[in-house]
Amino acid sequence: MILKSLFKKFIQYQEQKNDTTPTKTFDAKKSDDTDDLLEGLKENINTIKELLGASQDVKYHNIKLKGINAPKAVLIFIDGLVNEKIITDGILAPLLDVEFNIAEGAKVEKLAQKIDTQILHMADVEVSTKISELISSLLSGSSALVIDGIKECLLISTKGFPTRSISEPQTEMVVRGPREGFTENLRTNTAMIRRRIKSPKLRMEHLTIGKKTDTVVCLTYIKDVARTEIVDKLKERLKKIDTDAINDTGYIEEFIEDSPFSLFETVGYTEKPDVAAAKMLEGRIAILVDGSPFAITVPRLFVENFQTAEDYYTRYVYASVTRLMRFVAYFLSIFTVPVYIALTTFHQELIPETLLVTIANAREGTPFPVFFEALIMVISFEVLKEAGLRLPRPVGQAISIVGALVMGDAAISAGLVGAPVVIAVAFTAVAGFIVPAQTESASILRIIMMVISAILGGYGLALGVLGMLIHLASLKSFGIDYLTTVVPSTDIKDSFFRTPLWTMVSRPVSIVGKDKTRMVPAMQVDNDKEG
Amino acid sequence: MSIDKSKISPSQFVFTIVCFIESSAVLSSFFVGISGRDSWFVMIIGYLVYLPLLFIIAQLMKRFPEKTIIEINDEVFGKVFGKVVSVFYIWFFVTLTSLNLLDTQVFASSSIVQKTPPIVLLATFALICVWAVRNGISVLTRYMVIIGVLSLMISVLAFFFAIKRFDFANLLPPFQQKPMIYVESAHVVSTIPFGETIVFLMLTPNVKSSPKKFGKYLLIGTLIGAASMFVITVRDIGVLGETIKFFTVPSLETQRVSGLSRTFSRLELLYSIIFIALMYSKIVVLLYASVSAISQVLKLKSYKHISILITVLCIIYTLNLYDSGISHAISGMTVVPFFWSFLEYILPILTLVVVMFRKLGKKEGGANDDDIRNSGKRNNLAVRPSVGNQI
Repeated sequence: MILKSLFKKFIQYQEQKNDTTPTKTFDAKKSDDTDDLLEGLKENINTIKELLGASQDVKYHNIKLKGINAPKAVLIFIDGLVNEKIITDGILAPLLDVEFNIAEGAKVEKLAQKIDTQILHMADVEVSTKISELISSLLSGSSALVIDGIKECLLISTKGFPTRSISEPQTEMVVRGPREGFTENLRTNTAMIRRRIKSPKLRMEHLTIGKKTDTVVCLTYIKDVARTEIVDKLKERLKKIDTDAINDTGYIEEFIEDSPFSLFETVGYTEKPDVAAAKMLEGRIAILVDGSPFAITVPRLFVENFQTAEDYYTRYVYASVTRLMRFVAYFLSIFTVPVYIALTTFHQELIPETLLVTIANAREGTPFPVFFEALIMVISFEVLKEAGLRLPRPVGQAISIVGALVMGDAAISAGLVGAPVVIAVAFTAVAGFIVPAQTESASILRIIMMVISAILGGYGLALGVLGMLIHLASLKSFGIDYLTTVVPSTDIKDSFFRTPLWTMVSRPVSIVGKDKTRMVPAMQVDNDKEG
Repeated sequence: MSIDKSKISPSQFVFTIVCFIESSAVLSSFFVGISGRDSWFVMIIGYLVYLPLLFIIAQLMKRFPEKTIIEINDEVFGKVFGKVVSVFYIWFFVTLTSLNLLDTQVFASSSIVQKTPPIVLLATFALICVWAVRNGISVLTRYMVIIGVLSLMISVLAFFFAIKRFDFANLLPPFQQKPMIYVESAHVVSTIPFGETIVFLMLTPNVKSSPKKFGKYLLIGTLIGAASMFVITVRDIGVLGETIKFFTVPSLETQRVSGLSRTFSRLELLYSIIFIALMYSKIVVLLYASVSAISQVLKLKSYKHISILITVLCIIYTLNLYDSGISHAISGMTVVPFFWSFLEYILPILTLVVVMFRKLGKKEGGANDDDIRNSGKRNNLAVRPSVGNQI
């Protein structure tokens, strides 16, 4: 019985797996027969009202066109999603200016096309015969002109909803470099990328995902620079997404990433158009989602966690030093506390005598083992961090001060924890923020390593490091090894350090498509030749 | 054809050999315990004795670039006798894995975590190794370049740190011992670190290289390993003198007493880190060879299913191999080299003789071999989907 049930489940799973039906863009979509517009205006309007329900923001504007036997028409739009000035000046004014003189009983050939090409002052107009397309356009901010007596309607782009203006991104602040960030408006975001990459090879392919949200997802890449097989693989993964809602790029990320159970993210994200453009120029593909101020980029390599936009805007020596520091800080943020636990619990002989005495004095009278002391502090820090992030800024700051200063000091004074643990955890916390993209993985890895070092000391810690490295080596992002450029490879010029821009003649070999060269070699100034 | 289809670069292959040799170099007691202050000379002789075997391994790799030693045995000795020979090799690989696991556990028990039960140390280390093995050859050799270069750098650095304690007189007078001591010790050196490179015949199909270049890679890898071993041996003798014979891990003792100043001291920590990294690099190769050899003999499509089982068996085998670290060291100096000589020297010579006599394999690695190997096709056989990690 159980076997039978399992077999049934397996068959169902296989069927689901094999079902590669393209994503439905509209859940009210009817079969082809019932989806067509009819000749009668009243019937069409009733069908639309039936589909959209009694929504007060859907406006039906009746128009009596001028002229002998002129047909009736209705302009439908959703209040709040459209620019009313465009409707008045671009649609209503020209329509009401023209006389439609039609002979009694005669049928007007291609009336919709004539209105589009000869009357309307609008650039983006489509003629459609489908109700589903009409509804979809309406929900995206277009207006629909339905005319009596014809089986077609005009879908006119009148988008004009309120959007946030371009501002400096909060997650990727820079001292030097562009300060504009993506907004929630997809068109603004695509325009910002277009403005940076004025190449005819820049591709922006749109897909609609989400049965209820009908979210527009834009795949952006540079042809020949991005590898075709990666683009195809990405499209395939995106097409497989069959879900109700896509509210942000985060939704897409979880559906397309290679290692969903890993602590390390194999899909990158950025809030800055200059970063997205730079990544695309290296052969990556950016995905923009309508309503999200973040672009996600694939393939994602481990080294990207340690690269910032500013690395390329400041001089390479300083950029290299800071990048190396980021690598060190990341590993310190994970291993400082576990090493402290291992040393004080198992390998006291490795601590210099003076330091050992200092630690022993500081820990005198503390009731808990070092591991629990550290665990209490690490968890307290994570709680404070979360509280500080979610609360309004002034309150968040107060919480940080109370938590970090008052509670930390009180815990030491009360003899609950030793001062060295507080120092170690505080250092860990600061170091973790140097690599914002990996703060989450560092927080979890830190606790795992703490447990291992508390059980097996330095030996366990060494095994933990090996385990972490094996896991990192096994990760892939869209077929590209996650550790490419970190372990010795030809792309090392932009990994632990950044060499001068004029040395980066070729794009990263591991990612790039056919167009491999970025610049002419040896472009640095040669003072001897210049004289 | 290897079960794991993932490929490794020549540099990864070379540094895997370097790490393999270096891991024995950091545990030099098996030969310095015999030849004492003359071990540096014995080491050179041992390497020279090994060179003919290197030639044999290179010839077998060149003639059978798409085959592991298990498949070569089937072709050379026939299906039945070939399997018997393969069983010997499997025993060799498994025993080597267990012996190295034991070395790691003994070191950890004596120097890092004295109170932890050996089974815990063994199981945790083996767990990490089998995890790497299950990810395929490309993952387990990923860090070999880094580990190899780092350990070389540390060897050189440790030499400078030991200069204060280094006494050239400790190497004198040379060549005062009985000739049999040199023969015995050179035999140990040629079989234990160098002869064990026969295991790389399990990796041949995974190396992205022209068959002609296998010999070159083997030579470079073993030469770098031997050079590092030479530096370590000279340093340890110079620092410890004749007392080197009494230590189970002479390098650790050298590092303990070394240091340029109060600031640059306590180098045993560095040694412990590099020891674990090197032992990992050796054990993963041996474990990989063991599980893939067993899978090939049993005609399994993937080695992943049996990897954990084999690892558990290795742990049990390790726990029952020797009563103590001392008996292990004595066995390494006396019994083991004779067993190993048969598997590392006699059998490969016999194999190559039969190969040449029966004119088997490819005589020359043709120019097109690179393309064929890299495209993954040979003899009109399409490669099956990868078991290891591939794009």
